[in-house]
Amino acid sequence: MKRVLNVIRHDIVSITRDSVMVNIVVMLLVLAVAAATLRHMGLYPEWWHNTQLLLLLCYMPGMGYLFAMLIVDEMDSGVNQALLVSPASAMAVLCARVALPTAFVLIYAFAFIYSAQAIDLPFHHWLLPVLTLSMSVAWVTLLVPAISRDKVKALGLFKILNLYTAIATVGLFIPQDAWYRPVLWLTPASWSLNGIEAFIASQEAAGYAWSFGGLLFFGALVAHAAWLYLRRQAQ
Amino acid sequence: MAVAKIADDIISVTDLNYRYAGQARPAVAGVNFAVRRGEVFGLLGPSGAGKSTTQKVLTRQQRSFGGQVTIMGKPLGAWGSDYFERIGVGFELPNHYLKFTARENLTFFASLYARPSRPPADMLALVGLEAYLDKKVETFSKGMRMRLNFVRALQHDPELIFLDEPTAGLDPVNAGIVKSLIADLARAGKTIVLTTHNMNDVDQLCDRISFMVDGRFAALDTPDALKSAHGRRIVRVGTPDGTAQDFSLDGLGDNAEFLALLRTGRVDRIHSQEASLDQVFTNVTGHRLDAAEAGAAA
Repeated sequence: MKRVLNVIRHDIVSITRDSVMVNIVVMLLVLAVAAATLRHMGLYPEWWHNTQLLLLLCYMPGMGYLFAMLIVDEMDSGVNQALLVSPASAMAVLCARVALPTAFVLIYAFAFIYSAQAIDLPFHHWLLPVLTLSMSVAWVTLLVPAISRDKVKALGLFKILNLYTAIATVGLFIPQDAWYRPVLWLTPASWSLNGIEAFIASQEAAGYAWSFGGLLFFGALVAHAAWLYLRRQAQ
Repeated sequence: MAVAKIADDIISVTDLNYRYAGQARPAVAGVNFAVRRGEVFGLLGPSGAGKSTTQKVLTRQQRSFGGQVTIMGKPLGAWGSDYFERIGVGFELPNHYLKFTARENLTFFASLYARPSRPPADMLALVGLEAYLDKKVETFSKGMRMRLNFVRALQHDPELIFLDEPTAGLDPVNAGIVKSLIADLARAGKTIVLTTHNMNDVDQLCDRISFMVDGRFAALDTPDALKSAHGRRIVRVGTPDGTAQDFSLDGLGDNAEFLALLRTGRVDRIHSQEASLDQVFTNVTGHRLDAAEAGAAA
């Protein structure tokens, strides 16, 4: 356990040394404070709903990317080989690298939800959809180093994965009965947003169905990414 | 005798096989060897011969293999993370966290071990890098990074050390320092498995060497025995006028012609005609050493 914590501490130093993490966290705080301020001042009420969901969804893959880049960097420089012949368990380190950013986005999500209070739902209605969205962190953390050969490809791949997740927000701006709306169901993030919308509309069964379906969908993507990652490590 | 031999073997490999996924030919095919405690064992061969795969199996970077491998008295598969406490691995290419200093790199890796490590300053002083303790590794030359690689493998005082081309990229002075440290480690009872193309290193350091070709061992013996086996049992006597004469080593003390030549005082050099390790490499592997080095560099 101590070894894994040492690796994670080293990771955090590495991320903050590039100022990337600091910039992202500051940006997240500024956005959350701005949204909460508008809400509590009663300004632009027609935007509260969409702002809440947009801000909830769009930052999550980025947190995964920070840790994915650490792994890509280690592969690029060969340090991963040195770690493999150290007593630190590679699997435990990987789990910690997935768990840490996931925990961060979950804490941030609920802090944001309860500080902004833009959408009034009980905790048990938020839980499944937010858990589903947070799985994008694990997906990005595993899939980027599983496929990318270098940092440039990693950045390109991340932009695609981020778009795949964030495109669900298009659903907030198109009519509910648009014939092309089901195309958005190809991303599990849409299932999560549909779950939240169903809970808002007091359709509890539909809310759980969408949310649970999204969780399974993202779970399958994470499992596939983990399989690709482990296969690459074995090579 | 057999019991004593097993007790002395720190590595024992029987019928080792390894095939990469999707490859028709095994990378390692039925290799058998043992490394004795306190020995410097050379693993040589052209690129693609199976040296790196063998080393990856022994360092548990490749965990699924055929055959039996026993290390420090225990089957390799039965070891847990404590195995890595007792081995050190120096890689062929430098691999460090470039945005961290040399001290931070060594301190971080030391923090992954339960056993105490020597202070980074002491380790860096061994290879002449003490002045660069707090410099970021991204500012280091390749030779400096290689020296950092080397001391990182040793800092937790492992008893079994795997070194891959430890003098690659080093100038003669620093290569000499690293070789001297390897010799000190051997004198201190450490066991070293050395993979290299540098026959000079092999000649100076190794107690026994093995040549791998196509996943198999083509030869395994002491450097002197291999040089003798692949050389000619003659001495060549050169004279100041540029001529040279060969004499058989057998019965040399009674060879009247040889003795007469010595008595003339016109001898300016006498060389035995044992093979160099470069020649042994070529004879055994069927590859020229310079081609093998170029392949390794590619």
